[in-house]
Amino acid sequence: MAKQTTGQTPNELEVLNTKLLELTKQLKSKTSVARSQERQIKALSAEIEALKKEVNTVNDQATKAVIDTIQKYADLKLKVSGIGLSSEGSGTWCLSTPNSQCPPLKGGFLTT
Amino acid sequence: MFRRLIASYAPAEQLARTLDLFRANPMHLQALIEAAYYLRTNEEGAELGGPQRRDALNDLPPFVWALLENFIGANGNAQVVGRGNVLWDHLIYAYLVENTRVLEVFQKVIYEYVHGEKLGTPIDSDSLAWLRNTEVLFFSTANQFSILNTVSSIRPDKQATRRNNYFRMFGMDLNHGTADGNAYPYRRADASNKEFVDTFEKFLQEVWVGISNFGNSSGINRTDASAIANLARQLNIMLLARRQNGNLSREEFAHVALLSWFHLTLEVQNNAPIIQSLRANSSNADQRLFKVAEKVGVKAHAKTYDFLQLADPMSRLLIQIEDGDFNNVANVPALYQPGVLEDDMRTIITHWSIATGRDMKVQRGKNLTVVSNN
Repeated sequence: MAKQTTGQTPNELEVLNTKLLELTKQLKSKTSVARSQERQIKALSAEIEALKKEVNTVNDQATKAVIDTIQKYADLKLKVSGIGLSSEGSGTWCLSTPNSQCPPLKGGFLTT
Repeated sequence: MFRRLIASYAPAEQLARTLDLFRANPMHLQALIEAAYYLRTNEEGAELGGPQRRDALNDLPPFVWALLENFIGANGNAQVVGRGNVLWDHLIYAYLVENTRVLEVFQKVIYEYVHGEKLGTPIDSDSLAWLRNTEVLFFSTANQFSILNTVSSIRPDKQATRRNNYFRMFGMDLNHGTADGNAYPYRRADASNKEFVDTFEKFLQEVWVGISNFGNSSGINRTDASAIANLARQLNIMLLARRQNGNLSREEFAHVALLSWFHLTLEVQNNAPIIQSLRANSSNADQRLFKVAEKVGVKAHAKTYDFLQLADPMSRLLIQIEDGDFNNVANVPALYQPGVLEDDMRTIITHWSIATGRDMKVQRGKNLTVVSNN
């Protein structure tokens, strides 16, 4: 309840009281909207996070597909042409010539 | 084929292995060839005719394999290689190397050496061994049961057989005809991939768009992975259509073996004995061929460098296309994303443009000038 102030009539007090009640009501309503918006923001944030994860997974899969394809090509380079042999590994096929043996299998790049 | 046999991780050893190979008795080389085919890829369930299972022909009888194994595998290497691992180059390799006219050039070399001394006498026994091996393995009638044998009374001309096979697979003939300048006579099959060149060139153009747009941080990215996948699929279908049930695999093996022998002869570091014998030493394979060609009066192709640059990467690319890897849009960026494959795509695009005179760096509407190395 509003406190009576010196020099104010009961009518004026009633008007002030009504205004106060209205303002309180508006405040409550706005608080409720703010809370609702906060909840919505939280829900949206969670959704964004979930989407981000999904995008990362898709990106990872796409990257893996590309990396696997490039790796297969590099394997072909070694397997078909014997190009790119390094101390890290020897090719998948190499038949001995009369006086020399194939490089020993060292594992690594290609071991099949 | 032969280039794969001498592959080693140590350059010095690789040279020694190459000289061993050239010196070998032809029977030994024949055994290596038969063994390589016996150990070919054979993945269960893989498409018959595709790279993982080129054919399902009956294997060598066990007693013959035991003989070969004993002959070539004294160190157990044949067992190390293992069955199902040997994959040879694609037929496009043979086509591109043969376009240099290396066969005609060396055929004339052998002709001159066995008929007289116009070129002098071979400078050492290694040159003589090379001449013997080359003549016996590739210019004689092969043992009728050999995997290299593609000659019979039904198809007596090896060159006509190769041209027929190239035409069926790629819809293309070699760029040279007979010695007197006429078209080489051979049977052009109705079932041939006449759309190969057009489809392949569209594929190269789309990949180039991908390469030139990769990493764009602003502006329009015109890369169309779906279009590339679609073209790859068309190539995959047409190439495998010619290989159904293992068709042409045996011929491909024989042609690739033949051309790889001469390719190896040209690219040996420090010059192969026969190159030294001909005094055609050079630091590059194409220059060696030009020098040998000049000695015997047969013209090598002016674009030899480009054909040799194309041979290896195109072989690998078409094998991967036959495997269906680029039919999947997700795998397509591998063609234009920086890496070993993209490096080779640049090589293919550049040298195909030079060799054909058709610009593969066209960017839908914009045309760039082809740079020639002549």
